Amino acid sequence: MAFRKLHHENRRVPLYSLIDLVFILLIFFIITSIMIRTTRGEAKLYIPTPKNEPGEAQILIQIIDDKTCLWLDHTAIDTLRRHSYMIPRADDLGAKVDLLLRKMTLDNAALSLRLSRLKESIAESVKKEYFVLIRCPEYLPYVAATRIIEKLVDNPYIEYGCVSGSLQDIRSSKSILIDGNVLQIDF
Amino acid sequence: MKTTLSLLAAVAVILLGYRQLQIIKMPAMHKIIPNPLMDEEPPIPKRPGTQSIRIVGPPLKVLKFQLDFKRNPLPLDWRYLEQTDKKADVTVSGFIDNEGSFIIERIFDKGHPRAGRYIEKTLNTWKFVQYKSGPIRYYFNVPTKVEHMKVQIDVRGLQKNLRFADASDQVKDGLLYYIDGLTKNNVMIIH
Repeated sequence: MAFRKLHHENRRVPLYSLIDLVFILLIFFIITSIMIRTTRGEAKLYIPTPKNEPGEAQILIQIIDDKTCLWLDHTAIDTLRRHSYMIPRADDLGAKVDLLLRKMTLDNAALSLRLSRLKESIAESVKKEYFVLIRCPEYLPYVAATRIIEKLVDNPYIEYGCVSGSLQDIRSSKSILIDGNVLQIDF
Repeated sequence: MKTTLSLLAAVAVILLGYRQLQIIKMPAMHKIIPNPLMDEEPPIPKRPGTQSIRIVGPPLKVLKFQLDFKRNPLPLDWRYLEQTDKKADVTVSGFIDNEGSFIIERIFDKGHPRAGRYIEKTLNTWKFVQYKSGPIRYYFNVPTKVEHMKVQIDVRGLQKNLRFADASDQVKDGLLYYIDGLTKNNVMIIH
C-alpha cells in the first residue's frame, strides 16, 4: 500500500497566535490575582448585618462625605443642653442637627486622632465597652466605612456595626430627644 | 464499743485506700473535671438597629477570653476531618501572642499528614480576644469514643495580657474552639 510522503518543510508552529494567547492568559491571571487579594483583605473584616429593630450605640459616626463625618457620643447631650438657647423650639430638628454639625463634625485626620485617643483611654482607664455605629450614605463607596472599621477591629473593647443612612435621614427623623443620659434619634 | 469503732475506722481506711488506688490508676485526662461554664455556640457580635439610635454612655465590659469572631476565624469541619482520616491523632502546640494571633509552633500528626495539614490551615485563621497570651496546646483525637476526649485544649500556660486586662480583672473563658460537628461534650479544657 502506497502512502503519500509528508512534506515537513511548510509545517510551522503558528507563533503569532501563540504569543497572543500567552498575553491574554497573562493579563487574565494578573487581573484575577489582584481581585482575589482585594477580596481576601475584605474577608478579614467582620461586618455585622443590621436588624430592623431599635439600635443602641455609644458612638455614632455619621459619614457626611469622603472627607468629613459627624461624631456623636454621650457628650452630644451636654452640647445640646449647653447650647439649648440656639434651638428656638424643642421640635426644631433642623436646628438641633445644625448645632451638632457645627460642634461635632470631624475631618479625616481629626477622626483618626479621636479613634486612637479612644483606644488609648480604654487601655489606661476602667474597662468599658463601646459599640460604634457607622452610618454611611448609599452614594458613597463602602470603603468609606471599612476604612473606619479597620481602625477598630483589633480592639476587644470596641464593637461596631454599619448601616446605610445619610445626614438627611437624621435631619428628617421623627424626633431627636434627650432622656436623662440618653440621646434618642427615631427614624 | 471501742472494738466496733476501731472496726468501722478500719473499714473506712480500707475503702479510702481502695478509692485512692483507683484514682491513681486512672489516666491523667480522666481526672480532670470538664469546665461546665464552657460555651458551645459561637458568640454573635452585636448587630446595629435601623429603627432608631439610642446613644448612651459605655457600660462596663465583661472580659471573656475566646476566639475573636470579629476577625473571621474559619470553623474546623469535624466531619471532613473524619472523612479525610478516621484515625487522625494530631497535636498542635503554639502560642497566642499579645495581638491575639495563634502562632503554630509544632504539629505532631503522628503519620496523618493530610489531617495535620487541614488542621494547620484552619487553626492559622484563629485569632483570640487579647485578654490572655502564652502557650496553648490542642489535641485532636478523631477515633476516640470517650466523652471530652475528641478535642482537648491545654490552656495552663496562658497568662493575662496586661496590655488589655489588669492583673485584678476577672477574665472568664469563652469559646476556645470553632468546630462544626462537635458538641461541648466532646471537648475538654485543661485548666
